[in-house]
Amino acid sequence: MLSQLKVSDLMTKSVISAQPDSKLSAAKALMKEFGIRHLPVVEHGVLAGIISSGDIREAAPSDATTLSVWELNYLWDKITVGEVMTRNVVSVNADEPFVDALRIMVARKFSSLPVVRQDVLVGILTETDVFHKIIALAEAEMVQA
Amino acid sequence: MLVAEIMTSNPVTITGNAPAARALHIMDEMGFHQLPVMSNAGHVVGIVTQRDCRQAVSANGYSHKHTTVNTIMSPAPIVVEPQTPVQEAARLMTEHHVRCLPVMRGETLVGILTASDLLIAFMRTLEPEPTPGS
Repeated sequence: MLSQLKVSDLMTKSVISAQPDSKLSAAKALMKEFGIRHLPVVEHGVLAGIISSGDIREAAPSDATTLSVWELNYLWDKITVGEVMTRNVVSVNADEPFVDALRIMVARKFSSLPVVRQDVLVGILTETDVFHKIIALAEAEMVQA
Repeated sequence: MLVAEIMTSNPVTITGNAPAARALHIMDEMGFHQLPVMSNAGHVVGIVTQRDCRQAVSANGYSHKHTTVNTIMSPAPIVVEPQTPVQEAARLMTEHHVRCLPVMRGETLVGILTASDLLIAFMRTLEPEPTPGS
């Protein structure tokens, strides 16, 4: 039954994360390498926050529009993830019904949600995971028909 | 389920020669993340995102009035038809890493389909039908 889908049935399990003491330059490099825009931040295995590519861009002072790329990189090498991450991160439990997580994504306009089990990060649920499910369900229906 | 059932009809658009700052203003005012870009002849020529405009405006500072939408948009967007099944739209968004598809009937823009539209539609299929009278 579709309504019995759990978050863990759809989430991406191999989640890329950062530590609070990572430098912004390292976080930025990870995002670029994996083509992602959000990194959950993990401290001692526990979800401590989330950082977006927007957070990194905005971490430079407001007059940074006049800074060169070299100067920006210098700044991003000095600032840690823990200094600019969002701490009160909205997460969902892996065993929660998937539809509840989807409601949060829609209502809060989140494109991804970190997934935890007893505060430990175990995955991430993204729009792409949801789209893969939509496609898989439609294909299954076609096979049945 | 078809794209026509869940798309936003008559979308707000911007012309390619409009300033990026104006596109950004419209998106901020209306809560949109992207706009279809039209040529003067009324054809869809691209998609411009809030992010494209923010970057242009912050990179150029006070000279942003001179940056036009057609210099920062993504040209030749992937499009769908109203009769396209939603799973095909989901597949296109995933494969091409886009969150918005103009919906075209022939040469005419009739709607726009966003990642949010797909999520909302899927959410509705998962929610139990309200029982009459409850």
